[in-house]
Amino acid sequence: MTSLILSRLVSSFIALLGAALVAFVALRLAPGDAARLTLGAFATDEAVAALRSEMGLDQSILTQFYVYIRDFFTGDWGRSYALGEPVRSLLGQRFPATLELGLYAFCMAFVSALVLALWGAHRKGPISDGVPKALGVLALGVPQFWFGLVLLIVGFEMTGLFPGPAGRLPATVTPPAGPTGMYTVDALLHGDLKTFATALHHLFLPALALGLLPFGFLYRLLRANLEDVSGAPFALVARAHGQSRLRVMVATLLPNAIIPMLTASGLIFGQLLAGSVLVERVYNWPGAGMLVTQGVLQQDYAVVQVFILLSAVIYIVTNLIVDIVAASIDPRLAKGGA
Amino acid sequence: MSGLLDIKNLEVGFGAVTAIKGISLSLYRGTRMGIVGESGSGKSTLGLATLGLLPDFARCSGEVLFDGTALHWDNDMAMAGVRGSRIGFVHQDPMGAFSPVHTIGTHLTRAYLSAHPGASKADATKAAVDRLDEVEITDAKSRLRHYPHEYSGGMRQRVMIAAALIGNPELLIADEPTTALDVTTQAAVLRVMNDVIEARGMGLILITHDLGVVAEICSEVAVMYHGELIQHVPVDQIHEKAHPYTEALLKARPRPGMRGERLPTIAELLPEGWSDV
Ligand SMILES: Nc1ncnc2c1ncn2[C@@H]1O[C@H](COP(=O)(O)OP(=O)(O)O)[C@@H](O)[C@H]1O
Ligand SMILES: [Mg+2]
Repeated sequence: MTSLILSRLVSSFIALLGAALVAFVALRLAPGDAARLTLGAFATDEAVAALRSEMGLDQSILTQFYVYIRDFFTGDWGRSYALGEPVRSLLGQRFPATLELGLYAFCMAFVSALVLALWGAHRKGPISDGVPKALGVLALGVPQFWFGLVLLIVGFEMTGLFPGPAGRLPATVTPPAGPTGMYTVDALLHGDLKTFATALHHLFLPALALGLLPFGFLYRLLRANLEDVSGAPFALVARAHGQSRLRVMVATLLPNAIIPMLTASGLIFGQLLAGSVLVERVYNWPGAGMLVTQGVLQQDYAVVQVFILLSAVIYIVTNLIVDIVAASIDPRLAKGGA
Repeated sequence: MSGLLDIKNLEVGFGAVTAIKGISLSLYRGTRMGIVGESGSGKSTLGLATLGLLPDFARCSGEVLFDGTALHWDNDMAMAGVRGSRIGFVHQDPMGAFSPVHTIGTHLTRAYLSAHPGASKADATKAAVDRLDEVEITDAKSRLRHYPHEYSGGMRQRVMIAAALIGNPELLIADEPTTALDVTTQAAVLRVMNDVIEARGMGLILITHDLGVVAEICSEVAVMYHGELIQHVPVDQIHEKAHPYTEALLKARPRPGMRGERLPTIAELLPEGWSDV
């Protein structure tokens, strides 16, 4: 197990460097001059040159890359030239908002996929199997922003059960102070249950909208794998040992069927963070999505690079966790190391 | 007198196929019955039907009494109380019969705890070690922590026998327990199985296509052909009163000194015009 973690850490580090390199090169290969874009068409060439040197754009590419990596890890994330604010303070508020939304969306998707797949496999029937299957098909076929709008219409306009597209908390509630920037977590840490509940209430619809697609994917994956292993001789033998159907399903079949779902979860979670822009838009969620989209359009290097690296770190940490959990379930994975 | 196991008019179908065509058969306490027949004759289906472990789409009619009481196959909880603790089962595939992500210890303790619901974890571990000792797995205690892929085929099959016995059943149904093993390992596994069964005075249903094994271990033999029971006699009478099909089965076995000769097929050996019972 230790050697697995070590080898994963090394490959994670290489992956991180790779992600950094791709982000760095892609942005610099894009046409246009960031300094010129920042200052506008009417700025003098001297002013542009001065900004270029301030931004480090006149240095060699290698130096720029080195500075970029060094600054990221020392927490000096630079300044957004489009917005004139330090990236740290820009992303410091928005990234946790995206992360929190993504976490809730993912957990809802994962838990409901798990429960419904087990239920469907245990009680094969038109309802226990058909309803989640239909939901899964819907999830894979319907655009997330559209589903977000439908949820908004039903959950807010028609029934008033949930808050409208008003962001993370009503204006009258002061957000809890630090340390994570995720309001539900911070509220709990401060023992503020009322704010916790309010934040959760605001999270529900956007998280549902964002989580439907991963739900559909994870549900189908686990359901199919459960079906597969339920035909294995060990399923029969476990029942021959006197274990009930349900117990065999949960204690024997699930651990054998869940690994692909875990692996997929790692990938999906990264995807959620990067793909929440449209849902954030629909719910006026003050996340990183809009900021980064704008940053790409305006060649606002600093913002985009830091976002990519942050996402890469989260992605790599998630997959490291997934690998460790998977290896603790299946001993063959701990050995193989592949 | 009713037996330990009474199968009455059992009929099993899979879709258009009728795998068991109305079999009635009794097994008395302490009897060791061999069930023989070629592949597809319905031997496994008979064993699984008894335990209520046929797939959901199988059609099943007739009745099986265990110790005088009818088994209710669709009642999963009731059957869970019979499986393992009253009737043990050994599967033919020592590779596939173990969950690859669980240790051998987990398999054994779960089987023990299913048969002894109130027992402690420590009791279960102790029973697991004892049963492994019984099937001659050395260093049982540390081997409990190992995974199935760390065991050889012969060891896995002995562990499966241990797991089938850990609930202290009165009857063991062993479905081709040695088919997947090489000849030397086969002999060792059979001897171990025979010893524990004898020591406990248990009933045995040994499903096999090897008449030699039946002659060594069993007291009775039942011959199946195309889903029907065509003969059921004490093992020492199999030659005297052999049914034409049984005779063909006997002749189709390799004999010492049969070198370079092709073994005859059952079809060639059956008497002219013999098609059904
Ligand atoms: N799960 C199943 N689905 C469909 N047909 C089956 C199934 N199990 C057994 N059968 C059929 O039932 C018959 C008896 O099979 P089986 O009991 O496995 O024979 P044996 O164990 O004697 O080789 C065969 O024709 C086989 O094809
Ligand atoms: Mg068979």
